[in-house]
Order: sequence, then structure tokens, then C-alpha cells
Amino acid sequence: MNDFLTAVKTVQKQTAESDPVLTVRSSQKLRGPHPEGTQRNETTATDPAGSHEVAQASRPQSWTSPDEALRSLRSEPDTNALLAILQQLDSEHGFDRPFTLATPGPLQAQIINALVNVTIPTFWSVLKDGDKALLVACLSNITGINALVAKLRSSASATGSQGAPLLSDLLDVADRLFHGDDFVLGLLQHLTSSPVVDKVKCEIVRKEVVNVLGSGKVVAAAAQAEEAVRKQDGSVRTTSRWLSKGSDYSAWLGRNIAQLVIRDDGQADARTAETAAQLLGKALNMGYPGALIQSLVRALVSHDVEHGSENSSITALVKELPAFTKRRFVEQTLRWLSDVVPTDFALDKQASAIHDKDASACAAFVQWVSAGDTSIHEMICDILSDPALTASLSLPVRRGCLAALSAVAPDYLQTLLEKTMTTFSDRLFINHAPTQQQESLAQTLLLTAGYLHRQTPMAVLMTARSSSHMQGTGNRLDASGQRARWLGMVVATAVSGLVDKAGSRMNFGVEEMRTEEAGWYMGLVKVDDEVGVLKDFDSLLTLREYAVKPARRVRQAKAEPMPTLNGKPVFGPARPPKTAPSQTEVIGERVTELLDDVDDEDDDDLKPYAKPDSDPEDSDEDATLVNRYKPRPPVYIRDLMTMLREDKDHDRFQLAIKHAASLVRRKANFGAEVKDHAEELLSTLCNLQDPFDTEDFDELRLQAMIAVLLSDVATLGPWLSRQAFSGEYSLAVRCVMLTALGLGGRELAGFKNEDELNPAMTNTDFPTKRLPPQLHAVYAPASSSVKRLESAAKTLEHQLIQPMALQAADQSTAHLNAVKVRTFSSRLSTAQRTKRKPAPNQLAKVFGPALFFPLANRYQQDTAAYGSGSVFASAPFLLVTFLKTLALLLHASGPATMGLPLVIAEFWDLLLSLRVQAAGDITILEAVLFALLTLLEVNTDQRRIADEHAKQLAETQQWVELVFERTGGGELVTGGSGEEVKVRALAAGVLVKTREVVEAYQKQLFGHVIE
Amino acid sequence: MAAETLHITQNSSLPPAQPAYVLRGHSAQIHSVLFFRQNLRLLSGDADGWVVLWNLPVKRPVAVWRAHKSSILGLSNWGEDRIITHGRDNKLIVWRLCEGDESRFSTVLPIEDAVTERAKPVLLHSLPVNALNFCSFTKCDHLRITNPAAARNGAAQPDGILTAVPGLQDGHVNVTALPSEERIATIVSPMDINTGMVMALGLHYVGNDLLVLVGYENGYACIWKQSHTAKQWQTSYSNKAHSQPILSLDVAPGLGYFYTSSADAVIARHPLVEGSADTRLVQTKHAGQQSLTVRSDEKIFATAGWDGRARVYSAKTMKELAVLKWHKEGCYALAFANVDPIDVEDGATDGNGVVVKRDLTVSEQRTAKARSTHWLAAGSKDGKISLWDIY
Repeated sequence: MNDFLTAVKTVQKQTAESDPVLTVRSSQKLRGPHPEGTQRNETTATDPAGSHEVAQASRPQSWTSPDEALRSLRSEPDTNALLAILQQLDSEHGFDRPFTLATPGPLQAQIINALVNVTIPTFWSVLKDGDKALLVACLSNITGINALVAKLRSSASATGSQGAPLLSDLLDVADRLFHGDDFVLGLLQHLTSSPVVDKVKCEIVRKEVVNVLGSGKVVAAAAQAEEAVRKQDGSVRTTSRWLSKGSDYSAWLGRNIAQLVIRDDGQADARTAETAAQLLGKALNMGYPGALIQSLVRALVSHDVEHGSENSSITALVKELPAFTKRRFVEQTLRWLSDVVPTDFALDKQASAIHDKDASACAAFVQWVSAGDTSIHEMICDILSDPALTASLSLPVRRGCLAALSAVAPDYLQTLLEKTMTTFSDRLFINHAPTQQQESLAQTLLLTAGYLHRQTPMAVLMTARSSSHMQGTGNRLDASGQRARWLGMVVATAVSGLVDKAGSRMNFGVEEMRTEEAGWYMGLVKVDDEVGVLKDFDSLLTLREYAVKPARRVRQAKAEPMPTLNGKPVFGPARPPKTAPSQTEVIGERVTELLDDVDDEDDDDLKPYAKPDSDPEDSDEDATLVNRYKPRPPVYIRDLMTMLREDKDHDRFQLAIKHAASLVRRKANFGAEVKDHAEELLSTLCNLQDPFDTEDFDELRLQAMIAVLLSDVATLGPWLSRQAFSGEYSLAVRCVMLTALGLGGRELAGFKNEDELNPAMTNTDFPTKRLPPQLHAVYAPASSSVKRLESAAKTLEHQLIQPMALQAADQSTAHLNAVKVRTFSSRLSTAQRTKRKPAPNQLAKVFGPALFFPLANRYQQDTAAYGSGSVFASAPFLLVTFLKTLALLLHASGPATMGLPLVIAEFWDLLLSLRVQAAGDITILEAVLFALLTLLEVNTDQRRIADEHAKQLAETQQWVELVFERTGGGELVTGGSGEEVKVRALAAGVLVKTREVVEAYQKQLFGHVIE
Repeated sequence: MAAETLHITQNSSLPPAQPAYVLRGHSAQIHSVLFFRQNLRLLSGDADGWVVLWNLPVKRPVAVWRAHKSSILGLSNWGEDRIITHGRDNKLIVWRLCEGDESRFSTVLPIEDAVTERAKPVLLHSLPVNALNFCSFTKCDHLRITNPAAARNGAAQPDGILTAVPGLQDGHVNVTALPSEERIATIVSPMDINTGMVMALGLHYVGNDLLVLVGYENGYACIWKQSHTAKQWQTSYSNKAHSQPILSLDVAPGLGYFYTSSADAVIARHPLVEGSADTRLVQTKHAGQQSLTVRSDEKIFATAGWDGRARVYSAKTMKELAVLKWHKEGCYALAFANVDPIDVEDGATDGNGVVVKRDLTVSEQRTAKARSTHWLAAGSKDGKISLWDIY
């Protein structure tokens, strides 16, 4: 195999070298033997020898002109032919006239177009790595970049699932194309070294390169393409290519610019630096100045440090920058620097030493940057005097700037001092600028004053004596902001400390001026940083690059346990100055306290044990009231049930009954906890005795029962209905059950608010009208249990009767219509419109099967089985409750009830069957009438009633008329008992309703003839 | 100085204490526990009258019997072989139970069988006493001046013991000498205050003077002393430190104090000799601390709390040193093992002596360990006794 390989290689080389056409125009060797080429040969050599030979044989030897090559490209070449073309295009040799892809031109455009649109989609995925490099080399020119970016864009926007492979191929190409830090340099060198030297064309290409690369077009296209690929693959975003990340691209660009500057040998008519400058100006606008400047500066600095060249590389670059870009560059550089060396309030020695080092490194850097261009000094001076900008720069950077300024351009210091002083004294600035700006400006001011004072003490003295400073100090002292005032005092004191003699120094003599922080500010005028060497800065950068995060973390960790030590007020919120007693003394106090204790009673070295996990203190000062075993409210239905069965522990039971309703409601839709135990729980509640005389026991039990019932009405409704009739329950409990059914149903229908949120009618009876409690319990055993139902019924009754009464009143005063501003009915209707809110009526769906029929059927069964022996027959009270429950439920369920006709028929029959019993008991009578009224009210389809229930209607009308007459016929019209009046009203209501039905039916029959 | 303080604060807390052993044997609440026979035996008595004698080295019962028909109020030992039990059946009984006889007794714990009567030790004395409330008896060695020569030498010999129990009437205390069963004194309640019942008792000799320390229901703690001339008992100290009934008291003779705990959250330190020191109160914020016991080295004392936590305090500073939380229910009884340095040293030298000759057998190691461990036993309402190794 080895032999075979070498054999092929030699053959290849021989053919290449002995190719007469290739050597015809140039004495230069073919630019083929780069490593990739060799690799390609090796790999192709693994093909079966025969086919290889065939391929070799079929390969056209060369193309004499680019047009020919283009034709071949377009005419579907095989792989080998393609590679040959590419090689020739890349090498630029063998053509009959000088030709290069580096410069733009129509032919180049066509060739590149063919490469991008035909070759890449066809060949890219099957090409070997080395061949890919060759293809990419052919694209490494402005035409290629443009074509590739355009192709990326068009393919990305042309959606379609088949585009994904092409797009990822294109991205791959782009990745390889924009590779390396000397990409731009390569482009330019290629351009200048190409045989076609046309100044104008070169200029155009340069501009084009700057435009394409510096504008972010590449990033946008790559990101778009990547997104499209992802969308089509349906894959999630994992990692982005660097090309589509703005920051990474900016960093790459920065490195490229640096390479341009570094490798600028000066011989090629000095355009490289200019291009670099243009590129930098463009790239600064791209939105990632930090990354750009970091990579640029990093590369330049390390280059300069390594080579130690006197004429610094950056000078060339900066010199070429236009003024505005220069300013931007300086500003961004300083900002980036502030990120690298952030402000740390250095109060301890070690940290301040680091600070000094940072500052001198920064000074070195500033000096390095500004070495070749004095205008930068002015810019720095400008930046430092601008409060907003100076606030965004960290203190070491400002110190560095000032150190550099004072070393190189001391003339600016006085201007700077005056400017900062003016701003600092400005009343508007004092009152409205953020504290951070004020603080940083004060720092800058003090630093400047210090530097200036060392050089020309007179200048500082003049400034200090100037009226503007005096005025400014006055303004500061007038300021309402405590921090602003304090800063004014600090600055005034510090400046006075510089210029005044020891005796006549300004001293405000306030406590605030003796803080550690104030001392630090005063110390700023004494700061005199050395301008370091660039190597320091380089090592600083290296250090920060590798250790930025840990360093910060360490600093934080140090700061946290001693927050008072860490004064970070420069970038933090304004804090009132701390008073002089510092940390150490606090420790001292603590120590003495402990020692005192120890001295007081010499303890015998008994180390206390730590407290156990829980050691609660007594709940009450009074020992007799301490309760150690507080039961907790139940959180599970199981707990609730056991706690409800509790008959010894008062608190547990109380908690259980109090939390029952809310717990059940909370858990109703949470898993199957309630559902699984619903019947058991409901039965527990039904059977519940109150062993502890709980307050509101009935109410609480009722609420709990409603809650359980609502958790599953479909099964529990029938179950509870059955219980209400069977089982060994007292009347009171049965009433509670019925009430629970009634109120539960109403809640389901959306009447929750009326029933639950207004439990104000408890104990509205006047105490003197009530029996003594024990007698009350005997004679009105169930009164409390149906209280709520009663109140609901009363409200409903009122609602039903009132409109009719109002209407009657309205009609009876019809002759006064002219003077009535607003009829009663209209007022009523508006009231109703606002009151009635549309709540989803859940009851309507389940009313029949879950509530009505179980109850009605059970009642009929009961009466059929026991006759007059049934509890319902013997206890009118129960029957009344039962009827009212049904009526309330029916009303709540409303006209939309499912299967309403069936319900109506059943209910009506039931009611009519009660006529006899009603005759014997006025409460039953009242209930029946109430139910009838509800029935007629709910049934809105009056025609159907007339059609289907004609008999019932007639019977009802007849009977109610009788009732009405009898209650009204006697002596009871006005002076009768309240109940009788009520019955009469109800009867009248029913009559009105039945007549309405009849009228409606008649209307239907005769049309509107009657009117 | 600062560094030293820092050092202390850094190591200031041991981890929360955990019980070393839990003895489950009683079905009723534990009312009293007692270490004796150089910490080799632990005696526990419960609310049903059962008494269990535990072998501490192996933590197994060696004798179980029902000492009283009703709740045990107090337990004590009289020398190595005699056990005194005080029950609510109005009896104070002295049993003799020698180590050699232990094999005779039932070891079935009350938790397994609380019905069957068991063999009882030999009954030496049975005194009818008043046990209307929960006040336990107390005892101390009886120093009787037998011959004048010894009295002159100041070396009064212990002869028998003295026991004190509440008298028939509220506030009365009877002091009885054993084995003579002779009534030494009857102390009536102070004339001017309505003290209520006697809740806690203590007997202590200062010199040749017998002090009777009484804690009353109204929170008063008094020291009764017999005046030399009139032979009459008088209060030499009286202080109402508590707002609630006193539950327990114990003496720290070396420090010259006695401590009282009550149903309120206060623990009080009283001077034994009037005027020698101030009464000092500590508000612990944990009401109901019972069975206050001072350890024999008088460095610490501990209480059994109704909140289920035993608390250990420094005897000098009265600072809380440890909270022993294990029991879920209230603790009523607490006892310290004897940590008398002499005893421990004796044991140690014994042990060393043996080591020189031959290795300790496993059981001997166990015995030595049980003897030298600084046990604290806490008995709780749940019938369990927890053993803690404290300081």
C-alpha cells in the first residue's frame, strides 16, 4: 500500500510539473502544493487504481482563459475537473491574460456566481476538507463575500424544508471563509499583490470591504440563515455559530483590525492603516464596542509589549481616525477599561495597593493610546469634565487618565479643574444630577486639584479663591440633598487643605466630616499615580481575563460579613455618612460584654449545647394559660374526619368543624381525596353531634355539608335526598339536610353571594321576643337549622311578589300616569338589569336528576309507604322545609333547566296533592302557594303550560281562588295575623300569574283582536 | 483578649444533644427516676405504682414489682441495699433488695404485663403517710450526736436517715427518723401567710443544724430551723419567688444555695444561710419545670419540663446550657448519675489495676463505662426514660 501510495504521488507530481501549459506563462511554481493538496491526493489515492487512472485521463489539462473556465464550471464538471478549475482560479496562473478574482469585474462576478449558486449546492457536501479549502480560497475576495452573503440571505428568506441542507452548507462555507485573524489583511494583500493594479479599483474594493465587513451585514445574514435552518430542522437552539453572534463577530473584527495595523509594513502605500481605521469606525457602530475594543486593544498591546517597538502600533491607527470616530473610540475604550478595572472602595492597605497598581497601568495605557495624537488629551479632558461620562468611568481609569494627562499634557489640568468646578458648583447640577454623577465628579475634581496643585499651586489657589468656587460652596451648603451638601463640604475642605495655611483651613466641624469616607475623599487630592509601563497593563489585562470572576467573588465574600467596612457609595445609593466610631470599636464592645458576663460569674467551661430543632417559648406569660399541644387545622380529608369524630378534645373538634367547609372546598378539585370520602364525610356530618356546645355549630355544619355536596352533586344529591327521608335522623338534622340541598343548589346556580356573603340575618330577632335558651331549644329545635333556607325563601318570595304588587299599584293609579315621571315598572326593570349578573347556571344541568327527582320521588315513596305515619305528614315543619327547598331550587335552576316540562309536571302534581294538608296548616298552605308561584314564575313558556297543563292550571286557579276568598272572606283581611296576610298576598300572586298564563294563551288564540 | 473571646464564641455550641439510650418499660407515666449503687442501677417508678430496677451496664430490667397500689410519688435509696418508695396509697415503704437477690425477681416489664403481681423484695418498713397531693418525700442521713466526745470532735456519725413528708393538714411537714420510725418534728405552716399545700421538701444539715426546706403551693419557699433554745421550728428564710405552686427543690450545699422550680416559668436560687447571698430569679419562658435536680458535682442542674424537654442549667450562672428534646410528651422525672470525682476515680483505679493484670472482660468494661458515664435520665409521660450523656 505504501509503495502504491508513493507511486501515485510521484505520478501526480510529475504530471503537474511536466504539464507544459501550466508552466507556459509563469516561471513560478504552481501554488498547488499546500498541505490540503497533498491530502487530497492521498485520499483520492485510496480509490481503486483503475478509476483513478480514468479520472486522471479524462481531466482536461487546463483552461486558457477565464471564460473557458467559467464555461466548464457551468457545464457540470466532475469533481476532478472542478478541482482543477478551482486550483487554476486560485493560483491565477495559466490564463492567457492576467486575471484575478480579487478585483471585482463582470467575469469574476459570473465565475463567483457559478461557484456560489451551482458548485456549492452540488459539491460542498461531498468535497473533502482540503478541496473545501480550495473552494473557499476562491471565494476569499470581495466578490465572493458579497455573493455568499447575498446567497445566504436569499436562501434564508426563501422558506422551504429542502433549503435547510443548502443553508447549513452555506453557513459552513461562511464559517471557513471568515476564518482567522488575518482574513482582512489577506484580502487586502491579495488585492495589492494582484497583477491587475488599478488604483481606482483598489479603492473601490477597500470601501466595499469596509462596508460589508464593518456594517454587520455578515452577522445579520448568518443569524438569519441559522434561524431558518433551525426552524426547518425543528431543532432547538443549542449553540450559535460565532458568525451569527454580534459580540463574537465584533471581537473577530477587532483582531483583524489589529492584524491590519500590526502587519502594516508601511511599504504598500500606507493604505492598510487607513482601511483599518475606516473599518474600526464602521465597526464601532455595530453595537458591540466592548468586544471590538477588547480584542483590538488586547492584540495591539500584547504585540507592542512583545516587540517593544518605539513607534506604537496604535498610533498609526488613531492617526487615521476621523475626529469624531476618534472621540468615540477614546470614549468606548475608557468605558471598556472601566469594566476591566472596576471601582472598588479601597479602604484597607492591600486593596488600595492594588488600586494604585491598576491606576498606574491605566495611565500607561492612556499614555500609550494618546502618544501620537495630542487631540486625544483634549478629548480625555472633555470626557472627564462631563459629569455623565465621568460617572460611567471607574475610579482607577480616571486616576490613570489624570496621571497620564499630568505627565504628558499638564496644560489641560487647569481647564479641567475649572470645568469640573463650574459644573460641580452649578445649582442645577447640585439639585438635579444623580448622586453617582455628583460623587464621581467630586472625585475627579479632587484628583485634578491634587495634580494641578503639585505642578502649579498658584492655579489651584486662584481657582480656590475664585468667586465661582465660593459661590459653588455656598450653593452646595444650601442644597437640600444631604449627600450633595456633604460632597460640597468635602470638596471645600479638601481644596482649602491644599491652598490654605494650617491655621486658616476650612473646617466645618461636623460629625459627618470625620467619617472614614470623608477621609478617603480628602485623600484624593494627595493621590499621585505613577505612569506605569505598558507591560503592567498587559499583565493586568491577562490577569483580569483569567481571573475576573473569582476576583470579584472573593471581594464580595470579604465584603459581606463586614458591611460597614465596605463603603461602595460611589456606585451605590446615597447613604448617610457613617459616624466615626468604626468597626474595631464595635468588636471591642462586644468583647467586653462577653467578658463582663464571664467575669461576673466565673463559669466553669461548660459549653452550651445547641438548641434542638424546635424549642418554642411559652405562648403566654401566665403559666395557667400556656397551651402546649395546639392542634393544627386539618389538611387532609382523613384528618378532618378523625377530628370531627373527636369527642374529648375540644380544640381539635372546633378546629375541624371550623375548617371543614374551607378544606373541602379547597380539596374538591384536588385529586380524588374528597370524592373518595365524600359519602363517608357527608354521613359523618349528618350524624355529627356537638359535644362541646360549639358556637355556630349548625351554621358550620351546614356550610361543610354544602361544600361536600357541591364536590359531586350528581352522586351526593340523590344520596343526601335519600338520607333526608330514610335513616334515624332527628327533624332538625333532616331540615339541615334539606337546607344543605337547597342552598347548595342555589350556590350551584350562582346565588352564592346572596346566601353566603350576607349571613347578617343571624339573631335579628329581638332578644326579648325569644324564649329562654333552653325553652327555645325545646320549642324551636330546627329553627336555626333552616334559618338560612327561610331567609332565602323570604327574599325570593319578596322578589316574586314585589313586581306584581308594584305593577298593580301602577295600574291602580293609571289615571295619574300623566304626572308620573317614571313608572314603577321601569324603575324595577333597571334595578333588575343592574342586579342580575349572568353567572353560569350549573344547577340547570343537574337539577332534575340530581336533586329534584330524588327528593320528589322519595317523598312520594315515603307518603305511600307510611301514609300519615310518615314524618313528613306528622311534622308540617319538615314538609314546609321540603317544599321550600324544592321551590328555591326550582327558582334557582330557572327556565333553562334541562327537562323542565317533566319537572314542572311532577312538581305541580305534588303540590296539588298537598291541597288537603294545606287546608289544615297555614304554614303548609303558605309553602304550597309559594311553590306554585315559583313554578309559574319559572315557567316562561306560558303557551305550553296552557297546552299541556290545562287541567292543573284550572285546578290551581280554582283552589287558589278559594284560598284567597277564604283568607280574605273572614275577619282577617286587615287585622289578621301576619301569616294570613302573607298567604293572601301569595295567593293573589298565584292568581295573577295564572291569569297571565290564561291571557297569554287567549292572546295566542285570538291574536291581537282583543286589544 | 479578643482572640480568646473569639475562640470561645467559635466553639460555643456543641451540636444539639441526642439521647444515648431510651428505656421503654413502663406503660404509665414515669414519676420518678433514681440512680444508685454507683450508677449501676436505675430505679424508675410510674403512675400505676410499678417500680422497675434497671441494670444500667446492659440496660435491661433486673427487678420489676408493683410497690404501690397507686402512683409512685418518690423514690430513694438508703445505702446500697434499701430502697424507699413513696406512693399515693399513703404509704412510705422501705424495701431491702440486695444485689445478690436480684435473680429472684420478675423481669417482665409493666409494658408487657401490668396485671400479674410479682414477687416483692423484703419489706422493712411501711409508714402510713399523707399523700394527698403529689409532693414526694425527701430523706437525708440522720446526724445524731451519740456521744459527747464525738460531738466535741465535730464528727457526728450518720445513723439512720430522716424522712420528711407533708403532714395531714395543709402546709404541715412531718419529719420522721428511720429505722426508729420516731417522729422528729412536725412543722406547721407559717402563721401569717396562707401557704396552701406543701409541694416540695428538702432536708439538709448545716453544721449540726437540720434545715427543712419547704416549697408551698402559693409559691413560697421557706427554710425551717429549730431554734436551740426553744426547740421550736422557725422560718429562717422565706421568699415568694414564684407565682405558681413550687414543683421541686434541690440543694447545692457546696454552693450554699437551693434551687426551686415551679409551674410558672421561673427558676429561683435561694441562699441556704440567710443573708449569705441574694435570691436570684431566672425567667426561662418555659412554664412547668419539674423535678429540679442538682448534680453531685454542683456544676449543673436540670429540670424536666412539661413541654417534653429536659433543660440543663449552669448551677453558678443559671444559664441554660442544653435543651434535651426527645420526648414527645411532658417530662416529669429527672435524675443525674453520681459523678462524684472520688467515686469515679475509685472506679478508674480499680479498672486500671485490673488492666495491669489482665484485660477487662466485656462485662467489666461495660460496668466501668456505666459507672463513669455522666448520665442524665429523664422520664416522661409516655412511659419512656431517655438517657443522655451530658457534660
